[in-house]
Amino acid sequence: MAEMPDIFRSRLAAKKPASSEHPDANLLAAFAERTLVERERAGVVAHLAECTDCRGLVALASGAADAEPEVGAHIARRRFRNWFREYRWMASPATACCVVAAVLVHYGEPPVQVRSVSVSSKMAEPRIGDSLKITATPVPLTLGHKTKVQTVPSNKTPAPVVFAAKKDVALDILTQPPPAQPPGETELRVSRLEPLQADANVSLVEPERAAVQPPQPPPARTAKQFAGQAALAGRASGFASRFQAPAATSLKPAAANARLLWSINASPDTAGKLRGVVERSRDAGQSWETVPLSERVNFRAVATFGPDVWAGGSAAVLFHSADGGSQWAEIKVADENGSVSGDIVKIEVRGPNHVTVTTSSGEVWISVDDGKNWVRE
Amino acid sequence: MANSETIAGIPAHGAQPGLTVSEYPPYFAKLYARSGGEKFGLTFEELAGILQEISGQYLGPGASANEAAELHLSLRLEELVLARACASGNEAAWECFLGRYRSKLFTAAAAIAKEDSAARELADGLYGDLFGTRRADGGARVSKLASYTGRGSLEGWLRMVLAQEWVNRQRGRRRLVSFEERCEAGAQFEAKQDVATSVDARLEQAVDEALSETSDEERLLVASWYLDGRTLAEIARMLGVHESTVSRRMNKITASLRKRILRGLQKRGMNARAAEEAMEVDVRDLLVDVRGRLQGKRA
Repeated sequence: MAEMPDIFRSRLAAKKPASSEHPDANLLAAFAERTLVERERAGVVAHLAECTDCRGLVALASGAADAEPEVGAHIARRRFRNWFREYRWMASPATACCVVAAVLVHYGEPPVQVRSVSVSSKMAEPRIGDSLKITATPVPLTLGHKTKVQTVPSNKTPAPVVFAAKKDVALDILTQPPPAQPPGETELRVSRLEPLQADANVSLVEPERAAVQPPQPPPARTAKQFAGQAALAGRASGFASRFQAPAATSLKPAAANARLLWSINASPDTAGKLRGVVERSRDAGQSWETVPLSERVNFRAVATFGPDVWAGGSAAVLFHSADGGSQWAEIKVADENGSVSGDIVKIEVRGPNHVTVTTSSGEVWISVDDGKNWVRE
Repeated sequence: MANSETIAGIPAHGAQPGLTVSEYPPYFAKLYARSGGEKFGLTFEELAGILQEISGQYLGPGASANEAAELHLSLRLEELVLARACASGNEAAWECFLGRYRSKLFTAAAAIAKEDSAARELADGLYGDLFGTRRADGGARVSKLASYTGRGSLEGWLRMVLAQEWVNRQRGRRRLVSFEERCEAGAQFEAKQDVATSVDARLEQAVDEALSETSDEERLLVASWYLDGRTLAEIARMLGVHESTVSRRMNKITASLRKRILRGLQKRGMNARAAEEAMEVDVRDLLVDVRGRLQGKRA
């Protein structure tokens, strides 16, 4: 490229935009995608030639577009993936066996590089609740541990198997993992999906779609607990949509994942009065422990989505945990016009960060950012 | 839509009152069938109103029916309907939007912010604006999705909005940094120097003349390269062309500019050798306060 004198830069920068009106996001996006008609494109180009700010926006957004994961599937493959998803149950489970590399990270521990695992599964995008089977892990995995597998499209499996996008997949260890050798099978279930870290370098495994497991009934309760549950049954009419109010005396728990179950139970407080408490089971309902959130609250609803747990009750008190109940924060449900009234009797979690609460006074409030902001329906 | 809530600033029903289906342009019916609006409760009249609102926004009052048709047919209808349905609070639309765009939003935010927690904050902040957590004076929900017009893909629009939000946040942070913090960070504050402009005015004039003869697209390329410091790859992404195309064009443009500047200098009385020498002079040797001139020009 020909060298230009420094004065060239200053004269170039000296030119002001012909119009002070900046193209909106619609026009800039259309420009970046080359879908503007020539007349409009010329106008946007003329503005961009003079406006540093708008050039910066287009560059930033174009860079973000380029960072979109290479799915490895063009339109034909995407169509095949849709077809494949619909008819995959007709395929033999043994047809797509691939060797992939995975990075397994234990929460709170430094990442551990796993050289290779064998997978007996088909390809698709992992979803929460999916079961993923891996074998021959050369590193120890601990039952009950949360483990994260970072995934990228695999280029080792033969076409026309399609690949999914890069994702962080948080997995719970469901079965006792085998020792490093000889190879055995470990079942992992997807419990959370997060954007991938920039330096991840692993391949995707297709989870076998687990059948939807009905929530397990809790074990037999003591007479006192039955009495408490019966007392709550009349009032606890709103639960998360995943489980129903008790018909008899047992409260069906919310199934966050196969490892942790959540429930509302009745427990006497220090004055001997029954109030609702949040209970958690780590062993599929064999035993339960009370989660000490607040002595003053009569809890009436609990709901989960992956590791996110929401519990609410009297006086519109709402608690949230993002890590399966290890740490909790009390959330204020309010907007600029006022706060929620009544007891929280129903909680619905529609996705990560997206929660709806219903109160005894009929109010419905929605948050899509983990309870930071709320809007009343 | 079953929910006829007015989206702040953009009425949900913009269709001309009193018109029947048959009185709209015939292609409107095809567009309605293609849009999939039915599944989100969007009526034909509502879509017609949206289309007319968009053509009013982008076309002048004297635009012909053909121009309006060309614009309408170029719109991303399915995404437009989804966005407008989300903006008016349709739950099915919102679930569909979440399924398709939630992870893309995070991925784009990560690419823009480069750092995980900042990316999350950026994406979550925009997510709230898209959902419409604020209300206008009349009580109507204010959702950013109501401003999507389907000119480009919804995904591309989301990236652009994210980029804008990121830039605004960065600007806000810069303004809040105090003098003391800047000193602690090691910022050096130079004493104002006397300006001594010794640049040959003929060189300035020749450069201005050469730049005025370039096309807008050529100036966009040279501004991206010389002012913004972008790489060829980045410029190629901005324009949607291959990097080698940008490289070839840049070589051609700068060679042409150089020739024109030299010609301009010779036209102003310099001989060829002096003109070449003028092009080689480093402005720092001439004590030209370039920053001051730029700030003076921009003020």
